[in-house]
Formats: sequence, structure tokens, C-alpha cells
Amino acid sequence: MSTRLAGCLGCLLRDAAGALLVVVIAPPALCQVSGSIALVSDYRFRGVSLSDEQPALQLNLEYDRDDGWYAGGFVSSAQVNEDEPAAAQLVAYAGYARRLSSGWGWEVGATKSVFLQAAGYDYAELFVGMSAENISARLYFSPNYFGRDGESIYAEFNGAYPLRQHLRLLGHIGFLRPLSRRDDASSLLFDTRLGVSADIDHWNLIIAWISSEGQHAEYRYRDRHRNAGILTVSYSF
Amino acid sequence: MNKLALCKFILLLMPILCAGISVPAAADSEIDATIDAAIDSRAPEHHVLVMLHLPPLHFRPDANYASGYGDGHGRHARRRIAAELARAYGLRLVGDWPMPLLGVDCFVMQVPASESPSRVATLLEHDARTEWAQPMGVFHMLGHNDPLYPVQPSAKYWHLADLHTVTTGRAVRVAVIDSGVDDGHPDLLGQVALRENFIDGNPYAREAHGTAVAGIIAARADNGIGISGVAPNARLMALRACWQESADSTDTTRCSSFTLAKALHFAIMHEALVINLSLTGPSDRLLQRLLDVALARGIKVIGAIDPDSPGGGFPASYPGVWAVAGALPKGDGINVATNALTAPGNDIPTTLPGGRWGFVSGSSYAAAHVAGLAALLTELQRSLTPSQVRARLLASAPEPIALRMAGTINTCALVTWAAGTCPCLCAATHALATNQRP
Repeated sequence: MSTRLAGCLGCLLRDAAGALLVVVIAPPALCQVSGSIALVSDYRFRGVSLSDEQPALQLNLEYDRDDGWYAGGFVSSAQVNEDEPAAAQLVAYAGYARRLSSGWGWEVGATKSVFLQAAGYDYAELFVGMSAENISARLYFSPNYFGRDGESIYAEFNGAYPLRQHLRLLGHIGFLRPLSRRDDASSLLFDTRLGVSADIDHWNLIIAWISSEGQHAEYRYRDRHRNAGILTVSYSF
Repeated sequence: MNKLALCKFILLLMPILCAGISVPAAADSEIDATIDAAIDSRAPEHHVLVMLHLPPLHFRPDANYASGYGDGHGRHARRRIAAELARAYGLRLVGDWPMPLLGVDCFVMQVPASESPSRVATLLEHDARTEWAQPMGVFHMLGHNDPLYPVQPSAKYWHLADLHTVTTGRAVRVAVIDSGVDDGHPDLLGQVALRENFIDGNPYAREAHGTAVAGIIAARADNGIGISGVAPNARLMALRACWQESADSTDTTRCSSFTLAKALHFAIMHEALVINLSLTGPSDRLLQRLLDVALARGIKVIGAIDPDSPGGGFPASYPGVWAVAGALPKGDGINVATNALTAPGNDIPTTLPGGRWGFVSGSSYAAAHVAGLAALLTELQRSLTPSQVRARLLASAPEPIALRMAGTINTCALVTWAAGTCPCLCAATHALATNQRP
């Protein structure tokens, strides 16, 4: 496992550096640049492991403008399939978010996900969402989900419940469904997550249980473990 | 379900949850821990509030779903910006509070004593990194938190809380020549500047009449207990020249020419500006001579009218002394001389010995009200002669309901005249309001 992790780190640094430069430009004074580094025990994306159930290192950098526009980049070590080499996933995203006087906010944006050294899994997504202080809902549309020639939609609902200061209960449920007629129309994958998040100064700990059910043809992964406990340690700056 | 995975999950969960639950306050960020210590609630005027843009919550690819504004991403970025601003302008960052409703994160910064907060705020406003900046404002209460304040007639009819926004009788020495004052009473703590006993062979005692009069004049305001005196910042001189013969009733409180003269002499020598004589008796040559000296020195002398005595009794009827009667509800049948003042004297809540409070009635207590008012006016205009002030008092016309319930003095008009600013509903607007009442 340690050699694999080292390999991941290597590709992360080598291939992601160039892409990251795009994001890490000197920001104008009106922008806020923030970021975080995280170590996760298993990079689970919508219920599916993208790190072959191995730990992954992640970096997120983002800048927010005063007018509601935001953009960011996310890099993670990844291994979509045990047959594929260790790779890095790079996600570039941008969007516009607006807060309404009622306390709710809406947003619209797009993401582009690129898997370095593992061709054929790249995809783009558009999303719209609504959020309030402790809950959010988003709907995503992808024309080529994980490189497949078919459209998919993903809907998710997230919630956080404050247990005490700096300690929260997190919940998430999501549904992934192909829109292409070629695939089985009843194919639906849903994933859930329940966890606890603790904030200690710049650090954040999340311990969560994820679970997924259903089948989805877009995922070319080994259907080994549907449920897993995940530990995430991150540092924000 | 994989049992091994589940066991691992549970084993991981326990210590993490315990760590989360037992995280002590000291582990909070440096800024959080210093908020209460650093924000000096005694000097909020030395701080500025700096607003930084608070972005709305939005999508992020990493795993931290639905983070709130307080702990979420971007908070450290904003604190970094705030720390840079503090360094750049020579301020000390003290704390912050996100305000999603306004789309800002509000940072508190301490301004050095040599700088002006409003100047610093203006400079910060022009910095592109801030949404806006302002000096920290300081607000004060209107009205008093003394629980019995609402039942004090002076509260409602004399608009006491409003008067106190411009004057509290600060540093005005008021001599209470009376029976003993309980200066250990919680509502009188620190109000009695000096205490003297002029009765030989009768040691100082805490007596009802003196304590009641002292409380009406200068009971502490806003101490959360009891009443508020008319002049809560006046300095009382508790001069015991009278004694209570019976423990049961103040009706048996007695004074003699000798004890009163000693007390009066002392009061004048020790620079009292107001002397309260809530007592009555026969005309007395010795006391008249002393009163002449006091009046010549511009000391305001207040006397209580004796309803049973023609002319009002002595010293109330003595020329130059402000004679005061209690304002009783109409139909009482008492004739009050045209040069008499009337003030609240019925069912007055006040301090009583032994840390108690009770209701008192009588012109003694009306006089005490006027003594307090005299102290208020003296703080504003020390140079006016007593006769000038008294003429003004007699000329003031309160609104009808106050006239009926609390006497002939329009305290708002008086204080407006003495202070130059109107602390209460001013006469014109109030007249408008009363005219509109059916």
C-alpha cells in the first residue's frame, strides 16, 4: 500500500502541478483564496471508490469573488480500476452562487473531471443547486458520465445537524440514473452517507459510513465493497 | 455487509467521537479563545468593525458536505485577510462573527488609544478588501432597571429616566437634615458622602424617616434593586438632627432647635448646595438666622409644608425656602398657597432601614422629591440663584395628568431650560399628543 501511495503522490505532483497553476494565479484583492489538503482512507465518490479502496491525498484550491462567481481546482490521487495504473484526478470547476434574503441560496456551475494517466474516464457536468445554512440539494447533468457515451443525471440532498459547537452530524443521499435509452432504464444507483464532523482550529475530522445500492452501467469498477467506513482528515487554509 | 469493515468503522468511530466531544475550549482557534478576554466591554469605543465579503455556500468537489458558515471553508481565508488588514493599519484583531443574512463576516479590531476609531474606519472603508467598516457604537439604556422604578410616581410623571439622560445631580452635595439614614442599605451604598450625629447621648441609629427621604433623593439607579433616586449621583450628607422615639412609627420622630441648628451650621460649613428639611415646627430665631446665611450663599433650602398649620409651618413658610406640599388627587380639599410647589407625596416607594423598601406618604417626601430636582438643576446650572430657579419651578406648567397626580412642576420644561436640550417629549409634541386624545 505504501508504494502505491508514493506512486500516487508522484503522479499527483508531476501531472497536477501544471494544471494547478491555472487556479493558483495571483488573485485580485477582491477575491478570497482558500484551500484545503485532505487525507481520506478511501476516496468514495457518490458511493463508488475511485482510489481502489486505498487512502488518497487531496488538495482543493478555490477563489471566491465578491460578485458571487467562484472557481476552483481539485486534485486527488485516484485509481478507478485495479487494472488501470495509479492516476490523479483533476477537477476544475466554476460557478455562480447567490444568496437570497430568505436565507436560501441558489447556484449554477460546471465541472470538468480529468483522469491523468487513465484515459477514457474524463467527463463534464453541469449542475444547479439550492442551499441554506445546513441543507443543500443539487442536480447534475453529464453528457458523458465517466467517459461513457450516454447522459446521466445525479441528484443529491445533503444535511448537517449541529450537535454542539464545532461538532456536526452529516447526512447525504444521492441518486444516479442514466438517461440514455440504450441502457436499462430502471438502472439506478443510490448512495448514502452518514457521518460526524469535528472542527478543531484549522483541522477537520470526518468519520462516516457510506453505503450504495443498485447497478449502474457507467461505472466500470469492481463491485466489491458497497459499504465502507471512511475517515477524512483535512487542513484548511 | 462486510462485518470486518463494520467492526473497523465502529472502532474508529468511538475515539473520534470522544475526541470531538471532549475537545476543550482551549483547542479552539486563538481568536475564539481571546474574544471574551480581549473585547473590553468597558471600552467598546476603542474598536472598529470591519466587514469582509462572505461568499454564499456552494458546490465543492471534496467530501465535506453542507458545511455551515461558522466552520466552513473560506473562514481561514477571511481571517488571513483580516489579520493582514490589522497589520497594515496597526490594529489588533480580536474576533469575528459571520453574518450570512448580510453576506458579510464581521471582524472586530481594537484601535490603539492614540488613534481615532472613526478615522481608522474611514481608512478601512477605502481598502478594496473590505465591504465596509465602522467604529463600534456604544448604546445606553433608557429607563432604569430598578424593579420598583415603574411604581415611582416620579418615573411616570416626572419622566425621571429622561431627565437622567442629561443630569443626575452629579457631585451636588445634598444635606438631609433628618433622622438617621441607613447608609448600609443596598440601594444607598456609596451615596452617603458623610454622616454626622448631632444628638448628644443618642448614638447614630438607622431610622425610617431619614432613610426614606435619603432614598427618594439619591437611591442608586440601575443597580437592579429597589428604586431610583431623583438625583442618583448626588452626594448625600446624612445629618442626624432628629430621633425616632418609637420604633413603630415615624410620627414620633423629633428634632430640637439645638440639634437642627448644629446640623444646619455644619451643612453650610461643608458646602451643601441643597438642604432638605422635611420637618415642621415653631418659628425659631436661631434657625432663621442660619437659614438667612444659607440662602445668602445661594443654597437651595427645601421645606415640607405642614397641612395642619396656617401658612404651612416653619421653615416651609420662611421667605426664600421652597415650600413643598404633596400633590394629592383632586377632591382632597387641601388648599395650597399660591407660592407653594407640589410634588409626588403619595404612596412613594422608598428605602427603609434594614435593607427594606416600603411605601410612604406625606409632604416630607414631596419635599425630598424637590430636593432631588434641585440637585438635578444645580448640576446643570450652578450659578443660578435659588429664587431664579424657584420662580421657574412655579411658572412651569405640567401636562394635565401629571398636574393632577404629581404636582405643579413640569420637570421636562425645567430641565430643558437649564440644560439647553430637551430630554423628554418636548412640550409642543406632547401638547399635540394630548390634544389628540378624546
